[in-house]
Amino acid sequence: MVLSVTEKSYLHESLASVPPARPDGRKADQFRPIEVFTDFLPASNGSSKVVASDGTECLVSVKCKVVDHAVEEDLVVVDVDIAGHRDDSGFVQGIASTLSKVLSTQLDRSCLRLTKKYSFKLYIDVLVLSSFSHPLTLISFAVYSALNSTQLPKLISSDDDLDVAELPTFHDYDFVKLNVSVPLLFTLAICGKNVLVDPASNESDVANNGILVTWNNGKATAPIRTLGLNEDYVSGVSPQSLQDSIKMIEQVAPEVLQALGGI
Amino acid sequence: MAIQRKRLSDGLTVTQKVFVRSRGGGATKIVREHYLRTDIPCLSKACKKCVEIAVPGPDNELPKFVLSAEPGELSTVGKHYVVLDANIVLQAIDLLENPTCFTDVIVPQIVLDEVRNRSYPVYTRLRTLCRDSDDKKRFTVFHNEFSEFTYVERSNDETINDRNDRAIRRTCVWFSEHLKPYGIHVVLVTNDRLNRELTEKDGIIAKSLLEYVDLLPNADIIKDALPNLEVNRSKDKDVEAKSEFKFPEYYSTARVMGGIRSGVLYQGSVQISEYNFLEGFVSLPNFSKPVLILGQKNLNRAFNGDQVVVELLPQGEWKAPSTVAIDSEHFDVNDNADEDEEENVEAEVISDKQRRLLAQDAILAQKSSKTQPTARVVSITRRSWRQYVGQIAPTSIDLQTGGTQNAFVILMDKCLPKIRIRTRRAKELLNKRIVIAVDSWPDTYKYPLGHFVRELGEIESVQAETEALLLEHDVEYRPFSKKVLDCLPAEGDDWKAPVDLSSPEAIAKDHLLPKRRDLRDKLICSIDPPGCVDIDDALHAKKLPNGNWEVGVHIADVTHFVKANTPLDAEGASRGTSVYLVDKRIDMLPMLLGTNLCSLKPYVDRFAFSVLWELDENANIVNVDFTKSVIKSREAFSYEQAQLRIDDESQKDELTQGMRALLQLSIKLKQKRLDAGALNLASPEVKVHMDSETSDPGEVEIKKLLATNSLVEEFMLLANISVARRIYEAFPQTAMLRRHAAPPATNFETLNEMLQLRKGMSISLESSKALANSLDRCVDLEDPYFNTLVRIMSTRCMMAAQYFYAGAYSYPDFRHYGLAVDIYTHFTSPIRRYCDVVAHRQLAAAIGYEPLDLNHRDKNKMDFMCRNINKKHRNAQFAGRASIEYYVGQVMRNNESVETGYVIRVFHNGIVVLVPKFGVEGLIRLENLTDDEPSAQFKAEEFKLSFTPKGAEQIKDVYIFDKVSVQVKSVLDPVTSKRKAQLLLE
Amino acid sequence: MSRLEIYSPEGLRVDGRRWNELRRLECSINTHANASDGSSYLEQGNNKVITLVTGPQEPKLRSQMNVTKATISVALNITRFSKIERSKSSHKNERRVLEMQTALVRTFEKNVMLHLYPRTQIEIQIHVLQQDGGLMSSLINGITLALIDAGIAMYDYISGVSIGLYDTTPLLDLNSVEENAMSSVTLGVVGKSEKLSLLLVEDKIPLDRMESVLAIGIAGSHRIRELMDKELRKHGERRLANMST
Repeated sequence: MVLSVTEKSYLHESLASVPPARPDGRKADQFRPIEVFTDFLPASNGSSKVVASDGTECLVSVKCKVVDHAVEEDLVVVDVDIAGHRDDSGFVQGIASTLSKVLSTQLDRSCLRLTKKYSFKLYIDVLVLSSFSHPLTLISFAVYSALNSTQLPKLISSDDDLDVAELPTFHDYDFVKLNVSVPLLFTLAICGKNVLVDPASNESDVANNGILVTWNNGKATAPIRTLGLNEDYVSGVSPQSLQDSIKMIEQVAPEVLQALGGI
Repeated sequence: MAIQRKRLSDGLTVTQKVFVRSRGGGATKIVREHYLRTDIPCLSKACKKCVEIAVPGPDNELPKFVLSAEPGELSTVGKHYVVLDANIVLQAIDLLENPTCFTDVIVPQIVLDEVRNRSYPVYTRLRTLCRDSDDKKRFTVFHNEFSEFTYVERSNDETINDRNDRAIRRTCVWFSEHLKPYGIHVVLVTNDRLNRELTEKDGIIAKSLLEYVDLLPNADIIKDALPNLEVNRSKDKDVEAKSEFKFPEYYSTARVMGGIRSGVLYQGSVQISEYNFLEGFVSLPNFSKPVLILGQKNLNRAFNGDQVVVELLPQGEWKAPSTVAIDSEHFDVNDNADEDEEENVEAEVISDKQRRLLAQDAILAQKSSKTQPTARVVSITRRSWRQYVGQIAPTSIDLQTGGTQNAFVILMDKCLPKIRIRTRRAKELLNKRIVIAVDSWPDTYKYPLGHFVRELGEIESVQAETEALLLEHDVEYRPFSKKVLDCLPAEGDDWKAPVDLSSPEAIAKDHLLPKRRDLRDKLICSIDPPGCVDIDDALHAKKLPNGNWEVGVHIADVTHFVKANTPLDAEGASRGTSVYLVDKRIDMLPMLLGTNLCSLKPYVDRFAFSVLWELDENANIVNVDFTKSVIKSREAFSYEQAQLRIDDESQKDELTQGMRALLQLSIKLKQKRLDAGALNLASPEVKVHMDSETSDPGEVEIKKLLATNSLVEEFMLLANISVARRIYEAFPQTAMLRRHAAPPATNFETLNEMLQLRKGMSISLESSKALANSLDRCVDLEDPYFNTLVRIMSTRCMMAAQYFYAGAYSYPDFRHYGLAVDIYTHFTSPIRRYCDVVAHRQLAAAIGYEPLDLNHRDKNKMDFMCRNINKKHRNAQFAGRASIEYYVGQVMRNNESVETGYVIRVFHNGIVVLVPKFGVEGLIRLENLTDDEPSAQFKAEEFKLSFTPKGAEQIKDVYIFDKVSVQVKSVLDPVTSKRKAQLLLE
Repeated sequence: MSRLEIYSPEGLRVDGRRWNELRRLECSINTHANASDGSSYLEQGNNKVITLVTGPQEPKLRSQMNVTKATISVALNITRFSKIERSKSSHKNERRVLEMQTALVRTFEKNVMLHLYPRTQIEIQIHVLQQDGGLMSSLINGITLALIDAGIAMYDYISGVSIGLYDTTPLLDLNSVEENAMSSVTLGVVGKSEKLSLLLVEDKIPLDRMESVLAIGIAGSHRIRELMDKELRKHGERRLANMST
């Protein structure tokens, strides 16, 4: 829904007031409800579907391939497809490159290691069916649950193949659960001095700026940076807001992880 | 992993099968839907319930209930059906085919699938047993994997084999309960002890194959045919077989695959040297010459023709190819202490990096030195095992013992090792040709284990020898089945071509008739070898008003009778070719067609497929046309008769004029072909004359060639080429064609070296033209036969021509090197070659006569067909040659003589001599050449063997190509019982 | 040589069905109410397809406007992960995909009462999440359901099914293993009639076998129509029940 200038200005003021009055009545650190489904694509090694209450829906498939890790540098490939946006648009590419960077640098490569020569390469394909608010958080939740439900084929040949080459051979039935720490990406909206988690689409429209905070292994990690949520209200970010954002994530992230882990 | 089942409707439930396919180092997760049902019948005639649940197929036919209501009774078991596991099927398929046992058998689907994956031929045989169930033998497949009552899910940590065994047990339990009301029991036959124990826990009878056979009334006879496996025999103290000897273990699949991918192991098929059964070659893609494999341990149980994986041996063990001739008959195990092979046991830890360097050295070594890289077999990908013919080695058995004993069987194929079998009839089988099957070759046994299948008859009896020969060359010689014969026209020999092509009754019977052209007015005749009954082709020529010639080649219209997708067609496709033996012809198609309905006999109307050209004076094609036709041959000539008729100047009739024209045109055609570089190669072809009364072979004659031979040949070539172009145009992907690749220069290396050294000649390989010319130049003025000899030896260096479908190669590779044409096929002998049948169908479709069957438009099916007919074609040639060899042996039995021979190979311990008169060649061993073996000298680089002949003082040098007089006599080898020509130097 | 018997002499197919049996077909509509005007989720065997319909609405480009009737567009997204092996390409703008889109537009143009919605556009977006043979038929069924959910007037259901010919036996509703082993035909059948709105023959099929192939295809399509109809009615009842409470 497109808001009028007056509506926007009213909304902005409400959000900037202390404490913030969010249109859906949420607290600043409250997420909207989401539904998460996993393992609904049996042909993939891991899959998940996350649906937000506003209808934003994100599907993730994880497939694996055996590669010679001396030849292939990248063991994690992320591909993002957002319905209604061209694949080469700045929006899609921005999200894709952020995700790629975070996942390929922060996923522990040793979890994918099979033998001295071969590793699994993961293909993480993201499909956003419909997006109303900025989908990055939702995508990150979906990737998190997909990777945590990923089952990889079980190696049965020897893992020492440096001197005497062996072609990796796998068990025909058994899988091993992928055990890897997956970073989460949180988007926050800044309105005045307030920091709001999980901004809804109307909140994003009037936010002064967005902040992306990455959370991995129990702490906030790089990248932490700003994220343009709209074109009208953009202003600079104060160091205080940045600190507030990190603090807020430090508070909520453990709960979010617990919630996602319980699936 | 929890897998859900979902009920779809009454009797249909769906679940998922999830598994990992690990192929080529990848790991792909595969998910397939799997439907379970309740309407799979037990197919027992006793059962009253299943009749009601059985569902008709698309043709509205209900499944046949075949298992007998009163199956065989056994003492401790009672009335029973047998359930088999996959290993029993794979090991004992011969026994299962035996009509006197295994009468009512249930094959669980999981077993069938496993058999299919492990051996397609055995699968086909099992399926045939199921298809041909009758009142004697009844086999059924029970689809346990699709039945809701018998499907089992894999539990965690269960191996696939355990799961499948459990599925088989579940099937047994279901059947056993299902059949309880009718008093029929189920017996699971499996050699897996653990599985038997678990089965018995379920209350089902389980037996090993041996235990089961022991229960049979005719156990004594059948026991001989039991597969010979180590498991069976571990209890009897068979220590003599097990020595300290042990073959190296094969590598794991992971290692083999990894090694092949990283280029340190290689895959290829082993070819055992025909002169030395302990020496093999493997042709490998990166190497210019085949790599040598020397000795028993390095061959590591590989049979001739097996697909194997090899690894190069360290440089220190590279050797020159042996210059010794050894065959299994003369090779005594006990003399051979394997002294040279023990040292390489520790040579294991060579890293892949070093191996790659080794490979580079090996490739270099092949180019330069005489020392050749050697390799050893580390894994066998596919066995070429089949049934073999041989005979029991008399020395290997004890005539005193009555009971079961071990015996060695020496195979007719001298590239193969002897086989150990266990039999109680050793004494009886002595001096008989017997068929055996190979079962296993455990690494602690020096020789492979096998079992007796059946006997063919006395050694040297014509019937046994002929059958042996057909079996050895995998020729199907059993009479045509009823199903096949049912496809023949009901009129049989009385079938007649319709007199009037436009009569409504005739058209009602054959709606394609109006598309046939009436050529009965043409003066057509056929020219064939004397006594030929299956006349494939006939010709005619007629002068046209414009001065050009109308020439017609008419080929028997076999596809009018052999329609695609009939049992008759399937039989023809599987036989692939007729096989011509000296005294016997094994037909591809039933006699009625070959020698009557299709045969273009004179004086009667016959259907034909005609190629009609307009040729100008110089035999250039002005126009070509193809049509189905009706013809009436005016005369069937033999080559000689035709020659006489043409030469007889008093004959002025039109037919003779036509024949003369054909001859003139054929000479021009031949010249053109030769100018283009067609080769004129030679093989030592001989013909055995049979005494018509006693059918004893009389004398041997070298085949003569008349001008009329070449007349027919030229027009057949022309027809084949014209047809090839036409069907390729119509079916650029699946046209049935024939190609002949240019020989690689390496094939001619040795021959050229010999020629260079001995005669100062050489053969050029630049082009077929150059080759033809250089062959023409290889003339020894003093010996006119020398040229033929070189041609014979060159032929052996050539590649074999092969059938292929157009999509398999790119156009430039279609080339037929020997004939020097760009495209070629076989069209002119559909009675005796299946390729021609396909070409006929494709041509008929190309000219719009009738639509082409899908099988001939499907690349995969064409590929399968081409492989088969190539194999059958090769086998037929070998069988033919072997038959001649056998009869030549028989002829010489009566006439010992001294003949001229030529040395065509020189070994360290003997020479190989070819005797043109009989077309035979044989090895003359050093011990038969001289009394003083140690003083003999062999010079490999000069192809020379020097020795002191028996009874002489002077040293004699024998070189390659030397003309020698040899004494030819026929001897029966005491070990192989093979009669063959023995040559002795005069 | 296939590792499996495609059609055994006992009359069972690789997955255990008989020659004339459909795969499991499950569908639901109104699955993405927030994201579209009409939506459906369809599983036909292991095919999983989401279809979203937006419109009739004003075309984004004036050039797409037709003053007499609505225009239909189909955007087919075959995801990279939909097959067993992940594909390197995104399939967008592939010739095969463009052809499928055109075929789908043509099929539905004749069946939607386009004249009722002049100057508008009906956008159909399809996401193929998983495929296992007979994709085209699943797409047809998915679109039919989503169009109905969007409340767009149609003359009748279009139900799709693929039929293969194995030697001489026609096999209904092929999975991918079967599809690779034989030539096949895809049908789109209008309602309970024998009218075909789509007939796709991608390989060679002998003409004399075509009749039997079509016959079982039409029968199969009718069964699919029934299954879809049943689901729609169930959905309708549920909605009514929700409204009254």
